[in-house]
Amino acid sequence: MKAVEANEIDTFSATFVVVFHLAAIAGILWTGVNLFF
Amino acid sequence: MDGRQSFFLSIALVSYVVRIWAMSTGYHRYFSHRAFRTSRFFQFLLAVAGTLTIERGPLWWAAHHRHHHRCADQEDDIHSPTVQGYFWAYVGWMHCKKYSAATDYTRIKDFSRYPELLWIDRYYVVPPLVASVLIWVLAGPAVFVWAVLVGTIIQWHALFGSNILCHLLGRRRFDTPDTSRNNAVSAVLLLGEGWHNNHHYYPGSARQGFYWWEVDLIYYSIKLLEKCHLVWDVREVPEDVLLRGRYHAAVGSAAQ
Repeated sequence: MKAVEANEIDTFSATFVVVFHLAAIAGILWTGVNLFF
Repeated sequence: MDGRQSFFLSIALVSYVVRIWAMSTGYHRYFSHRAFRTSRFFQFLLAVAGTLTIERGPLWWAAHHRHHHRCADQEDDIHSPTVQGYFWAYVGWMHCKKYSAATDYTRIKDFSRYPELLWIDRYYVVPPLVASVLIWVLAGPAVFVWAVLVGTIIQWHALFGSNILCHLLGRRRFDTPDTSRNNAVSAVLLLGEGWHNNHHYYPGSARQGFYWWEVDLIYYSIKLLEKCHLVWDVREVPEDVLLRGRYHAAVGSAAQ
Protein backbone atom coordinates (compact mmCIF):
# COMPACT_ATOMS: atom_id res chain seq x y z
CA MET A 1 0.00 0.00 0.00
CA LYS A 2 1.31 3.41 -0.95
CA ALA A 3 2.28 5.49 2.05
CA VAL A 4 0.51 8.84 2.31
CA GLU A 5 3.04 11.58 1.84
CA ALA A 6 3.02 14.50 4.23
CA ASN A 7 0.51 17.18 3.21
CA GLU A 8 -0.76 15.25 0.18
CA ILE A 9 -4.11 16.81 -0.73
CA ASP A 10 -7.36 14.86 -0.41
CA THR A 11 -8.79 15.70 -3.82
CA PHE A 12 -12.34 14.58 -3.09
CA SER A 13 -12.55 16.54 0.15
CA ALA A 14 -11.08 19.70 -1.36
CA THR A 15 -13.30 19.48 -4.44
CA PHE A 16 -16.39 19.04 -2.27
CA VAL A 17 -15.61 22.21 -0.32
CA VAL A 18 -14.96 24.22 -3.49
CA VAL A 19 -18.17 22.98 -5.13
CA PHE A 20 -20.09 23.72 -1.90
CA HIS A 21 -18.83 27.31 -1.96
CA LEU A 22 -19.69 27.72 -5.64
CA ALA A 23 -23.19 26.34 -5.02
CA ALA A 24 -23.66 28.76 -2.13
CA ILE A 25 -22.56 31.72 -4.25
CA ALA A 26 -24.88 30.64 -7.06
CA GLY A 27 -27.70 30.20 -4.54
CA ILE A 28 -27.13 33.61 -2.99
CA LEU A 29 -27.16 35.22 -6.43
CA TRP A 30 -30.29 33.34 -7.43
CA THR A 31 -32.27 34.09 -4.27
CA GLY A 32 -30.67 37.53 -3.96
CA VAL A 33 -32.08 38.63 -7.30
CA ASN A 34 -35.54 37.61 -6.12
CA LEU A 35 -35.20 38.92 -2.58
CA PHE A 36 -33.24 42.11 -2.78
CA PHE A 37 -33.96 43.53 -6.23
CA MET B 1 -35.36 45.15 4.66
CA ASP B 2 -38.71 43.49 4.07
CA GLY B 3 -40.15 40.40 5.75
CA ARG B 4 -38.85 37.93 3.18
CA GLN B 5 -35.30 39.22 3.41
CA SER B 6 -35.39 39.07 7.22
CA PHE B 7 -36.81 35.57 7.01
CA PHE B 8 -33.98 34.16 4.90
CA LEU B 9 -31.27 35.94 6.87
CA SER B 10 -32.81 34.61 10.09
CA ILE B 11 -32.78 31.09 8.66
CA ALA B 12 -29.06 31.37 7.94
CA LEU B 13 -28.45 32.74 11.43
CA VAL B 14 -30.42 29.97 13.15
CA SER B 15 -28.66 27.35 11.02
CA TYR B 16 -25.32 28.87 12.02
CA VAL B 17 -26.08 29.06 15.75
CA VAL B 18 -27.46 25.51 15.93
CA ARG B 19 -24.36 24.07 14.24
CA ILE B 20 -21.87 26.13 16.26
CA TRP B 21 -23.67 24.93 19.39
CA ALA B 22 -23.55 21.29 18.24
CA MET B 23 -19.87 21.48 17.38
CA SER B 24 -18.85 23.28 20.56
CA THR B 25 -21.00 21.36 23.00
CA GLY B 26 -20.78 17.92 21.43
CA TYR B 27 -17.63 17.48 19.38
CA HIS B 28 -15.51 19.82 21.48
CA ARG B 29 -16.51 19.99 25.14
CA TYR B 30 -18.06 16.51 25.38
CA PHE B 31 -16.30 14.13 22.99
CA SER B 32 -12.88 15.79 23.07
CA HIS B 33 -12.69 16.90 26.70
CA ARG B 34 -15.40 14.99 28.56
CA ALA B 35 -16.40 18.20 30.31
CA PHE B 36 -19.71 16.70 31.47
CA ARG B 37 -21.47 13.36 31.57
CA THR B 38 -24.68 12.36 29.89
CA SER B 39 -26.80 9.36 28.90
CA ARG B 40 -25.91 7.10 26.02
CA PHE B 41 -28.95 8.35 24.11
CA PHE B 42 -28.16 12.05 24.54
CA GLN B 43 -24.53 11.31 23.72
CA PHE B 44 -25.70 9.87 20.39
CA LEU B 45 -27.89 12.92 19.77
CA LEU B 46 -24.86 15.17 20.35
CA ALA B 47 -22.90 13.09 17.85
CA VAL B 48 -25.65 13.32 15.23
CA ALA B 49 -26.07 17.08 15.79
CA GLY B 50 -22.32 17.56 15.37
CA THR B 51 -22.29 15.84 11.98
CA LEU B 52 -24.54 18.65 10.69
CA THR B 53 -21.46 20.89 10.70
CA ILE B 54 -20.08 18.70 7.88
CA GLU B 55 -16.70 18.42 9.58
CA ARG B 56 -16.54 14.63 9.55
CA GLY B 57 -17.45 12.31 12.41
CA PRO B 58 -17.38 12.96 16.17
CA LEU B 59 -14.62 10.47 16.95
CA TRP B 60 -12.45 11.63 14.03
CA TRP B 61 -12.82 15.24 15.19
CA ALA B 62 -12.28 14.54 18.88
CA ALA B 63 -9.26 12.27 18.22
CA HIS B 64 -7.58 15.03 16.21
CA HIS B 65 -8.50 17.66 18.78
CA ARG B 66 -7.00 15.66 21.63
CA HIS B 67 -3.83 15.36 19.58
CA HIS B 68 -3.88 19.15 19.01
CA HIS B 69 -3.92 19.74 22.77
CA ARG B 70 -1.10 17.26 23.37
CA CYS B 71 1.27 19.08 21.04
CA ALA B 72 -0.24 22.53 20.47
CA ASP B 73 2.03 24.77 18.36
CA GLN B 74 4.70 22.11 18.13
CA GLU B 75 5.91 20.28 15.03
CA ASP B 76 3.24 17.56 15.34
CA ASP B 77 0.31 19.93 15.87
CA ILE B 78 -2.30 19.34 13.16
CA HIS B 79 -3.31 22.99 12.70
CA SER B 80 -0.86 25.47 14.16
CA PRO B 81 -0.70 28.84 12.37
CA THR B 82 2.68 29.54 13.93
CA VAL B 83 4.25 26.25 12.77
CA GLN B 84 2.53 25.34 9.49
CA GLY B 85 1.25 28.73 8.37
CA TYR B 86 -2.15 30.45 8.10
CA PHE B 87 -3.63 28.59 5.13
CA TRP B 88 -2.74 25.22 6.59
CA ALA B 89 -4.25 26.09 9.98
CA TYR B 90 -7.35 27.52 8.27
CA VAL B 91 -8.36 24.73 5.88
CA GLY B 92 -5.27 22.89 4.67
CA TRP B 93 -5.18 20.32 7.46
CA MET B 94 -8.83 19.30 6.91
CA HIS B 95 -8.15 18.42 3.27
CA CYS B 96 -4.84 16.62 3.69
CA LYS B 97 -4.84 12.84 3.19
CA LYS B 98 -2.68 12.40 6.25
CA TYR B 99 -5.48 13.74 8.48
CA SER B 100 -8.65 13.11 6.48
CA ALA B 101 -8.00 9.36 6.53
CA ALA B 102 -9.84 6.97 8.86
CA THR B 103 -10.16 7.83 12.54
CA ASP B 104 -7.30 6.80 14.80
CA TYR B 105 -9.40 5.07 17.44
CA THR B 106 -6.43 4.55 19.74
CA ARG B 107 -6.69 8.26 20.53
CA ILE B 108 -10.32 8.00 21.56
CA LYS B 109 -10.66 4.57 23.14
CA ASP B 110 -13.18 5.79 25.72
CA PHE B 111 -15.87 6.48 23.10
CA SER B 112 -14.82 3.81 20.59
CA ARG B 113 -16.54 1.13 22.64
CA TYR B 114 -19.98 2.39 21.58
CA PRO B 115 -21.05 0.75 18.28
CA GLU B 116 -23.53 3.54 17.48
CA LEU B 117 -20.74 6.12 17.75
CA LEU B 118 -18.50 4.04 15.50
CA TRP B 119 -21.38 3.89 13.01
CA ILE B 120 -22.06 7.61 12.99
CA ASP B 121 -18.33 8.31 12.85
CA ARG B 122 -18.11 6.20 9.68
CA TYR B 123 -21.36 7.36 8.09
CA TYR B 124 -21.19 11.00 9.18
CA VAL B 125 -22.59 12.14 5.84
CA VAL B 126 -25.98 10.55 6.52
CA PRO B 127 -27.52 13.13 8.93
CA PRO B 128 -26.52 16.25 6.93
CA LEU B 129 -27.62 14.55 3.71
CA VAL B 130 -31.01 13.57 5.13
CA ALA B 131 -31.47 17.03 6.68
CA SER B 132 -30.57 18.71 3.39
CA VAL B 133 -33.02 16.59 1.36
CA LEU B 134 -35.79 17.17 3.91
CA ILE B 135 -35.21 20.94 3.91
CA TRP B 136 -35.24 21.02 0.10
CA VAL B 137 -38.42 18.91 -0.16
CA LEU B 138 -40.37 20.45 2.73
CA ALA B 139 -39.25 24.09 2.59
CA GLY B 140 -38.03 24.58 -0.96
CA PRO B 141 -34.75 25.45 -2.68
CA ALA B 142 -34.54 29.05 -1.40
CA VAL B 143 -34.62 27.90 2.24
CA PHE B 144 -32.10 25.18 1.32
CA VAL B 145 -29.70 27.83 0.00
CA TRP B 146 -29.76 29.90 3.18
CA ALA B 147 -30.14 27.15 5.78
CA VAL B 148 -27.80 24.55 4.31
CA LEU B 149 -25.37 26.26 1.94
CA VAL B 150 -24.96 29.73 3.46
CA GLY B 151 -25.28 28.61 7.08
CA THR B 152 -22.69 25.85 6.61
CA ILE B 153 -20.16 28.09 4.92
CA ILE B 154 -20.39 30.88 7.51
CA GLN B 155 -20.00 28.28 10.26
CA TRP B 156 -17.00 26.68 8.53
CA HIS B 157 -15.18 29.99 8.22
CA ALA B 158 -15.96 31.02 11.81
CA LEU B 159 -14.63 27.72 13.15
CA PHE B 160 -11.59 27.53 10.87
CA GLY B 161 -10.82 31.19 11.54
CA SER B 162 -10.59 30.49 15.24
CA ASN B 163 -7.58 28.22 14.57
CA ILE B 164 -5.75 31.36 13.50
CA LEU B 165 -7.35 34.13 15.58
CA CYS B 166 -7.06 32.27 18.87
CA HIS B 167 -3.38 31.55 18.37
CA LEU B 168 -2.33 34.93 17.03
CA LEU B 169 -4.50 37.76 18.39
CA GLY B 170 -5.66 38.39 21.93
CA ARG B 171 -4.55 38.34 25.50
CA ARG B 172 -2.65 35.57 27.26
CA ARG B 173 -3.78 35.34 30.85
CA PHE B 174 -2.03 32.03 31.53
CA ASP B 175 1.51 31.07 30.62
CA THR B 176 0.73 27.97 28.56
CA PRO B 177 3.42 26.19 26.51
CA ASP B 178 1.58 27.16 23.29
CA THR B 179 0.47 30.44 21.69
CA SER B 180 -3.21 30.22 22.68
CA ARG B 181 -4.93 33.56 23.28
CA ASN B 182 -8.27 34.79 24.58
CA ASN B 183 -9.91 36.36 21.55
CA ALA B 184 -13.15 38.24 22.24
CA VAL B 185 -14.21 38.38 18.57
CA SER B 186 -13.94 34.63 18.28
CA ALA B 187 -15.73 34.23 21.60
CA VAL B 188 -18.70 36.20 20.28
CA LEU B 189 -18.75 34.43 16.90
CA LEU B 190 -18.41 30.97 18.45
CA LEU B 191 -20.71 31.52 21.42
CA GLY B 192 -17.89 31.36 23.98
CA GLU B 193 -15.25 29.20 22.29
CA GLY B 194 -12.82 32.08 21.83
CA TRP B 195 -11.50 32.12 25.41
CA HIS B 196 -8.80 29.89 24.07
CA ASN B 197 -5.93 30.63 26.44
CA ASN B 198 -8.23 29.79 29.36
CA HIS B 199 -9.21 26.60 27.55
CA HIS B 200 -5.64 25.49 26.83
CA TYR B 201 -4.69 26.14 30.44
CA TYR B 202 -7.55 24.07 31.85
CA PRO B 203 -9.17 22.12 28.96
CA GLY B 204 -11.21 19.77 31.13
CA SER B 205 -13.68 22.42 32.21
CA ALA B 206 -17.10 22.82 30.59
CA ARG B 207 -16.51 26.54 30.98
CA GLN B 208 -14.13 28.49 28.76
CA GLY B 209 -15.11 31.99 29.87
CA PHE B 210 -13.65 31.73 33.37
CA TYR B 211 -15.10 34.99 34.73
CA TRP B 212 -18.50 36.65 34.53
CA TRP B 213 -17.31 39.16 31.94
CA GLU B 214 -16.10 36.39 29.63
CA VAL B 215 -19.47 35.50 28.13
CA ASP B 216 -19.70 31.80 27.30
CA LEU B 217 -23.13 30.92 25.89
CA ILE B 218 -22.12 27.30 25.34
CA TYR B 219 -21.38 26.90 29.05
CA TYR B 220 -24.70 28.53 29.99
CA SER B 221 -26.48 26.11 27.65
CA ILE B 222 -24.70 23.16 29.30
CA LYS B 223 -25.84 24.43 32.71
CA LEU B 224 -29.38 24.65 31.33
CA LEU B 225 -29.12 21.05 30.11
CA GLU B 226 -27.92 20.13 33.60
CA LYS B 227 -31.00 21.76 35.13
CA CYS B 228 -33.12 19.70 32.74
CA HIS B 229 -31.25 16.55 33.93
CA LEU B 230 -30.01 15.82 30.42
CA VAL B 231 -26.35 16.16 31.47
CA TRP B 232 -24.63 15.94 34.84
CA ASP B 233 -21.24 16.12 36.56
CA VAL B 234 -20.47 19.35 34.70
CA ARG B 235 -16.79 20.05 35.32
CA GLU B 236 -16.10 23.54 36.62
CA VAL B 237 -12.91 25.58 36.82
CA PRO B 238 -11.10 24.93 40.14
CA GLU B 239 -10.88 27.88 42.52
CA ASP B 240 -7.06 27.88 42.48
CA VAL B 241 -7.08 28.26 38.69
CA LEU B 242 -9.48 31.22 38.97
CA LEU B 243 -7.28 32.81 41.64
CA ARG B 244 -4.18 32.31 39.48
CA GLY B 245 -5.98 33.98 36.60
CA ARG B 246 -6.95 36.95 38.78
CA TYR B 247 -3.35 37.23 39.93
CA HIS B 248 -2.06 37.31 36.35
CA ALA B 249 -4.71 39.92 35.48
CA ALA B 250 -3.56 42.07 38.41
CA VAL B 251 0.16 41.92 37.62
CA GLY B 252 -0.21 41.85 33.83
CA SER B 253 -0.72 39.09 31.31
CA ALA B 254 1.41 35.98 31.51
CA ALA B 255 3.12 36.58 28.19
CA GLN B 256 1.97 38.90 25.44
